[in-house]
Amino acid sequence: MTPPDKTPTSRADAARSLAEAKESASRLEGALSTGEGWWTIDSAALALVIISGALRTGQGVGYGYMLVVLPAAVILARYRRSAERVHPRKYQLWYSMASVWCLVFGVAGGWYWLIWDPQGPRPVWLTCAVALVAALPLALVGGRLVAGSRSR
Amino acid sequence: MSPANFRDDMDDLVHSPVRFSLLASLARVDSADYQSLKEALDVSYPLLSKHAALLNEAGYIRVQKTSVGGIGKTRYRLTNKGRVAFEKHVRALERIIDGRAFTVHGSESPPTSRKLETGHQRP
Repeated sequence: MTPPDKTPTSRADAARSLAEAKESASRLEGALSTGEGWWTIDSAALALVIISGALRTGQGVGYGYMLVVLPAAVILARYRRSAERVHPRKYQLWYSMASVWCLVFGVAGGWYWLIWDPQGPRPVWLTCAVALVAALPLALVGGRLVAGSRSR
Repeated sequence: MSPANFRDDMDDLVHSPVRFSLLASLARVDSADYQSLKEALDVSYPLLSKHAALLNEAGYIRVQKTSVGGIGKTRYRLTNKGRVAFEKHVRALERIIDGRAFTVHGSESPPTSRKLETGHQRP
């Protein structure tokens, strides 16, 4: 039988290997980007403005307004991409879900108003509340990055 | 079980210190960019590229190259195959540390546990 100190991987080797890997993993986990987090929060804020504005004004004016603000969303997305560093576990899933939620909620909300209430008055508090529900998950995803990068 | 059985569980591709650290790091995150990974592993750019290419060829990691504003960006992500290989290797190492791989006269005392988080709950 092979004695422990003659094996290719001794206890000391194995322990050192695990310790080094653990240290590297901890360092990488801490390399979250505050910038990316803030750009994501900014994107959520912009979505809030777009959706609440579009719902309030409605129809052609609303969509025209959306087209004006849309380039800002593209610029924000580019800044966010350039600030990307390490993404915590499940980040991509949460980010995608939050983005889809924002889009679907905004479009569905707008569609509902166009179909069922084309000319009716739209109280500011209601349109803002709908926009907030749409944009909040995205803001939370960004906030998670900011909080994660500051806590380490 | 003899030490040979434990050695069989160890993956040569994972065993290299740089590659093992790379997989351990990626197992704890969703994805990471080239620069962050280089800093965390404290290795040179060519060394990281070389080891990452080997793991990519084996299907253990996925390399995603994009361009943002004309600047190239590379991101790394652990694949399911890579996670399985990494966890198997970690288990083999832990058994060695625990002394279960060595049955010679039972002379060594049980060492302290050094669990490495793999990002997955083990059954």
